[in-house]
Amino acid sequence: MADFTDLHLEFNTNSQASPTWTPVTGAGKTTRFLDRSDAGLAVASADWPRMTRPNSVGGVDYIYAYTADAVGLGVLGSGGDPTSWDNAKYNQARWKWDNTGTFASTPVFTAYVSSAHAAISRGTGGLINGHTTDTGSPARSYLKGNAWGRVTSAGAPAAAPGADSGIANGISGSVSPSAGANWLAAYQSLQGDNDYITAPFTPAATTADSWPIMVRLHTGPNMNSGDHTPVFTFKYTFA
Amino acid sequence: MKHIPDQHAMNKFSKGESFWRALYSDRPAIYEWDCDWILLPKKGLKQLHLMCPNGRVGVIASQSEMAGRIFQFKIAEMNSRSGRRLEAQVIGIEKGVGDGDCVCWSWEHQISESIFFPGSKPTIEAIRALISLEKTDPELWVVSSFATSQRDEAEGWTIGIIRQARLVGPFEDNVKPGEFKYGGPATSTLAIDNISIPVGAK
Repeated sequence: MADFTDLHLEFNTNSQASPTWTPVTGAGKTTRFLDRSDAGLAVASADWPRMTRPNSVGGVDYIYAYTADAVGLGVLGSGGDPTSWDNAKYNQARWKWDNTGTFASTPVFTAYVSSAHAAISRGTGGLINGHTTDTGSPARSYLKGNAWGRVTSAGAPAAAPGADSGIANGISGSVSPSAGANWLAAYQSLQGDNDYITAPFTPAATTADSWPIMVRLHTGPNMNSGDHTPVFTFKYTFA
Repeated sequence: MKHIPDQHAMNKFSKGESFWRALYSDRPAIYEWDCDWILLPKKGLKQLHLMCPNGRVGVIASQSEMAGRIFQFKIAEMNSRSGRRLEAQVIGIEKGVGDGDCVCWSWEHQISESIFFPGSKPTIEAIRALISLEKTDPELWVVSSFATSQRDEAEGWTIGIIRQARLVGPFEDNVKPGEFKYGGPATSTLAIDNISIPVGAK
């Protein structure tokens, strides 16, 4: 039961109807969020524009998939600038793996403050930590995720999650979509080992496949200012 | 006595990784690189070892038949920024039949916080000094430090992630029918506690 040669996160940089999956995992690759669609597709990370902290809670509507420091594409942007968040555009992202490995258990999808994966304190105002005034109590992450109940080869999503992401969404511990053609009924907070999503399946051995997911970033007046550089993480086991 | 094949062992140890070794009463030892875990002959197995880079060895032994009771797996993660890495390797054995109680050893990585340097980019000597400072526990084994850096908004530098590991065990856990819920011991450095292992890992 070997490990995988290739396992990565990828976003759709074309359209809902005709996805083009762009890998964003690894050195130099980043997923960037902004409240504007015109940030540009050749912006070095050090020059990434700031957004003003809002007076009320809201969404950060645009996602950019950067494959190098100054080489990017807009998510669901048909090769250009990103389009605004739309829960109906469910071909947004997925975890993908090759046929060299074998999972020994159900994988887990979550996010951390940094790649150090330190334990996360709720409510300190960080993007992943959340703040009770903005993201509910106990404080949930500003970053939410949804996941499909089966691998793509068993049937890709044909409909969107039933409910849009809400800033207070989240359940402590693990949640799983019902196995089969199902999204999570409600988006889950992505907060390290506090709140996360566990797949309801163990993918088939040595079979290339993918797991459809969706991600949505919220913000609010109590989010800390400064740079936020969290990481999406996929946890898995192999023997 | 068969010596550990140096090249394979060094390949593992140089990456800070452990490996398993199976000892039999009636055949030569089998090492992790010799065969797939699920193909490992379990009949006649007397001991299962977890060989660690710091020289320590976790041992699972039993006077009774081990087939159908031992398990082994690795915990890994794919991180959207730094890529894939191994978090732990676990070996274990069910103590009885049916109740799920088991004994385990694990080689567990722990990752320190990133270190922020205000001002100019630090020298490699400064980074090395920090790595040695971080190693405060003699049981901890420095696995690696990433020399990648990124410039912070405030014109400082965030350098490196120091990875260390240690052998943890023996500790007790419980194997539910059909799955393994990894709780880990109090000294565990693993952040995750909900790894489910199907019988296929046994």
